[in-house]
Formats: sequence, C-alpha cells, structure tokens
Amino acid sequence: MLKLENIKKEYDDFKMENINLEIESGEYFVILGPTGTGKTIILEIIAGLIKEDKGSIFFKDENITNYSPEERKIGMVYQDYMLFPHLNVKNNIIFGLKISNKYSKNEIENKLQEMLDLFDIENLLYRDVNTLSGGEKQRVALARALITSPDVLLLDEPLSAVDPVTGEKLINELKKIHNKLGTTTIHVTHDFVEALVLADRIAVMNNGKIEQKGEAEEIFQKPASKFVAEFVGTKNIYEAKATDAENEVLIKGKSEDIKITIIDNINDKTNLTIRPEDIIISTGTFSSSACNSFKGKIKMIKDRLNYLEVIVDIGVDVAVHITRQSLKEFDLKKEKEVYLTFKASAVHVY
Amino acid sequence: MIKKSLFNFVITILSLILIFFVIAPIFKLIAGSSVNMLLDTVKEREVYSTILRTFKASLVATVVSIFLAVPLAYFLARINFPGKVFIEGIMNLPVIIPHPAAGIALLTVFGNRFFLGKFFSNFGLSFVGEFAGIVIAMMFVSMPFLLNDAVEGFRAIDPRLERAARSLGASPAQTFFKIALPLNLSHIISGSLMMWARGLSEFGAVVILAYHPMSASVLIYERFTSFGLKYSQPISAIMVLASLIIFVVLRLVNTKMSSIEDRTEG
Repeated sequence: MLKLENIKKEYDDFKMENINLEIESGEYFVILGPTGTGKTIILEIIAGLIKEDKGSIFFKDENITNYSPEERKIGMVYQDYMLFPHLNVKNNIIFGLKISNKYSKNEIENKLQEMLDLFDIENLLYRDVNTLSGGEKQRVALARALITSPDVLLLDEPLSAVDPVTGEKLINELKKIHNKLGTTTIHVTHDFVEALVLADRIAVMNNGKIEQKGEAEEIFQKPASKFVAEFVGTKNIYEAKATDAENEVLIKGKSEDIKITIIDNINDKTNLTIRPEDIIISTGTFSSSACNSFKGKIKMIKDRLNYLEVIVDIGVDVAVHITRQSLKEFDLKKEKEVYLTFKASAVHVY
Repeated sequence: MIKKSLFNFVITILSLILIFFVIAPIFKLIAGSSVNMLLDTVKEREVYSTILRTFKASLVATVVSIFLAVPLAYFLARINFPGKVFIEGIMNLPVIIPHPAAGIALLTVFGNRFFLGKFFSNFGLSFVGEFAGIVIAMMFVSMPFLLNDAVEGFRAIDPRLERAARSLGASPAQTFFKIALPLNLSHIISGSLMMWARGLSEFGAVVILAYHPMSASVLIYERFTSFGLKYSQPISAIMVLASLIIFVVLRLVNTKMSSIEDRTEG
C-alpha cells in the first residue's frame, strides 16, 4: 500500500541509500536499528517533511513523491511529542480538525470525545501541555495525530522518552489501539522487545541501509548479516504453552518443562521474551515479590564492552546482563551455581 | 581570603564608577529643572507637538517594520541559502554606520530627485522636510533591533513543531500564523518596543532628512545651539523622563512575557 522505492538522502556526514520498503494496509511495521542510523529521516521523508534526493514514494499506486505534507494524510508523532506549547491539551488534539475547516463544531466535539475515551485522557482536557508527564504527553500526541484519521501513522521512538514502567504500559496501549483502529503504522525504535511485541514485520537498519526485512522470528532465527546477529543479540526468546492455571505458562526445557509466571493471560501457544537486563542474578535464594526464581549453572560469560553477558542454564539458556562490578563482587565464573529472579511483569508475551 | 576580599573590593569600585558615570548626568539633567519649569515647557505648543510627533513617527516606523521585518526574520531563521550571513550583516549595518551618513544615504534614494522619491511623489508622498522623512530615518536606523529579536525568536522554535503542524494538515501559511507567530510573539513585542524606544531618540539620520517638522532630538539641538544650555535642559529632561517611563514599561512587559515563556517551555 505504501511503497518506498530506491530512496536516497545525503547530508554532510550522513548517507542513506537504496531504501526499499513496502508496507501493507493495516500493517504494524517496525524499523529497528541503533540510534543515528537515519530512521527518523525515513519517517520525515515518508511524511513529506524533508525532501529525498532520489527515489519515489507510492501510496495505493499513486506517486506521492512530490506531494506536500498536508496533501499526504500521514500523521507523524515525534520522539519528544512536539505538542504545541501555546495551546492546551484540547486545542492540541483538535488542531488538525480545526485548520482543515471541514468539520462542524459538533463533529469536532464528537471526534475529540472518541480520542479522549480511547486514550483515557478526559481529565487532562484543559491542562497546560507543559505540565503533563511523559506518558500523558505521548497519549495527547497520539490522539492529536489519530483524530485526523491519517492513512498512515508514523511513530518516532515513541517509548524512549518515558520511564520504563510507563513504557511497558504504552506498548500495550499501542497494541490495543492498533488492533482497534487498524491504522497502518510505521514505528521506529532501537528496542528489540518493542519490535517483537508490536511488529507484524520488522526492517533492521544500520548506517543508512536496510540490512534485513521480515517477520520477527525470521530475523531472530536467520539473521542475514553479522550486524543483525549482533544487534539482535542473544535474546531470551521462548515458545510457551498455556496451562490450566491462570497466569502460568510452560516453556520447553532440555529435560523438563519450566513453569513461568506471567501477567497476561494466554490461550494455547505463544512466544515470550525477557530482557536480559531485567533479570537478577544471585548466589543464594532470597525472598522477594518477584514470582519467578530458578536455580542454574553459569555456562558462559561474554564481554559486551559496556556490560557482561552471562549465559545461565536453568534448563534453558538464559542471557543476563550484569556490570563488571557485580561479576567481581559475586565472584561469578563458569560452572558456578546461581539463582535467577525476575518479575512476572518482566515477561513479554508476543 | 585577603585575595578574595580585594577582588570584591575592586569589582565594587569599578562597578560604582560606571553606575555613577551613567546616573550623574541624567540625575543632574532632571534635577536641574524645577517642576514648574518642566510643566511650563511641556505646555509650550512647540514642545508638546514635537514630542507627540516624535512618538507618532517612531510608532509608524515600528508598525511598518513589523509587517516587513517579521516575514524577513522568518525567512532568515528557516531557510538556508548562500549569502545568508552577508544579508544578515547588511541588515545590521544601519546600527553601526554614522547616523548622519545613514541620513545622507537615505536622501540619495528618497530625495525628491531620486528614484524612490520620484516614485512616492506620484502618491503625493514626499520625504524631505516631511513627517514621512522622520519616519524612514527612524525606521532605517532602528529596524535592526526588531529584526534581530524576531530572528532570534524564530530560531528558538523547534522546526519539528512546525513539521508536526504540517503533518496534521496545516499549510505553510497556517503553520506560520498558528504556530510560529504565536510562539514568537513575545520576541516580536519586545523587539518592537525596543525599536520604538530607539527610534524616539534618533537625531543624526533625522536631521538630514527632516530638520522641519521637528522631532524631539532636533528641537533639543536647536534650542542648545540657539539659546544655550539653560533652554535646552528642560526639554531634554522631559525626553529623558518619557524614555525612562517607556523603558520601565518595556522591561516590565518583557519580564512578564518571558515568565510566560518559561512556563510554556517547562
């Protein structure tokens, strides 16, 4: 439906070329890559906010390359939201409807109400946008973009400027909203978990080039380049089966199945993942509110420049990220027996 | 400790010298005329009509400049083109050249025999020895204050705010009027006030283009050269007091505006 053909853009110290993407109608597409690889620029080119040097953009077979942003019906949500500081929440949200001069006061009020309900932000309506929290700003920015019913929604690192707890919440909200509205979405991120949980398909980008495109599974299992393999890294990805008990799933271990407590309810089968930095490693058991605790043996310790990656065998291999200091303090080494602990909320189902 | 207190001492002395240097003449000027003398001077027809004319001329110069300088400021802040630094430099030239030179330069264009002078005379507008001459002289030399403030203000607005507006369907004009202009209003207002206040005091350029009708600076100059210190003092004092009031108001508006801005940027 949306097609980028051989897009090229060059700045003083930055070059991006041969960008070819095809995004299907209603798809949630994630562009994944480290910061500074031109992901935001792709979005700005799609929205018509900056001009590509070469290449074409098609929307439903219509060449929109030379269309101005306002002719494209493509909504963009910037990383730091870009709420208009001189307008309150309400006037921010209805900005697009008001300037179009196509809607009556009643229609605007109705659409506004839909957005307020969708994002549960009715209580913010007359607030000064500068006093909102990160999560609130994000919801207002999304409402402002979605109220105009754009053909495509572009999200630039939508979760990177909020705290982790809010981020987790927003991931689920984004998913819910996409399921409800079905707006074709292109989401740019450096976070693999975000990509796994949200994406129908992923494109991995590096140095202004697309390294690989495909479904999450495919990228994880068959990385097409060394960069993809390294960037995607060792992720804790497991296939899980539902059990009779609520909030409990089984993952297949080497000898027997391992029971994991999660927040979401699943039926039948699913995949789950745990961020390596969300797992606590300890040399003894300790009591905590975290539901998941396992005993295992250290299989390998890899140096990752800024941190260490410890692979622990608890029946399946689990990667845990720790600092050099912790390694010293707990005298962690190969074959040592350790315990892994993580909260149910650290387990992401996708 | 000794070093530090010596340092503080030197700083204090130097600061006091400079403050005294500014305050002493102004204080003497104002205190040198009795209240009655000031009132009598203001009541003089020539004086109050001159002061009124001066305020009006600077106001007209400022209003005309707002319509021309704000678009240019937006252009300079948003669009990169070769020679932009050069244009910005040229636009600031009026501030640094000797103001009589500015007046003479204006005369070579707006004089009755020269092209803009001829052009405007078709509409019955002439500049030499006219109110309009005071206006363009004031405008020429004090417009940079407005332009620079407006450019600075537009540069301070994240261009992505405007891009967000475009992606929401706003045309370039709508983006300017709904986003850029309101967000830059405080800079434009303070720049305009600064320009207006600076225009009031203009002498060098004005005296070349229009000795008559008189503006305040010219009247002060005339009284000084024809009648001496005693007669030029009261009208000087009145202009200083008027400027002082404007300046205080300007500072008040400015701080109020920037406190609003602080809130909006928080």
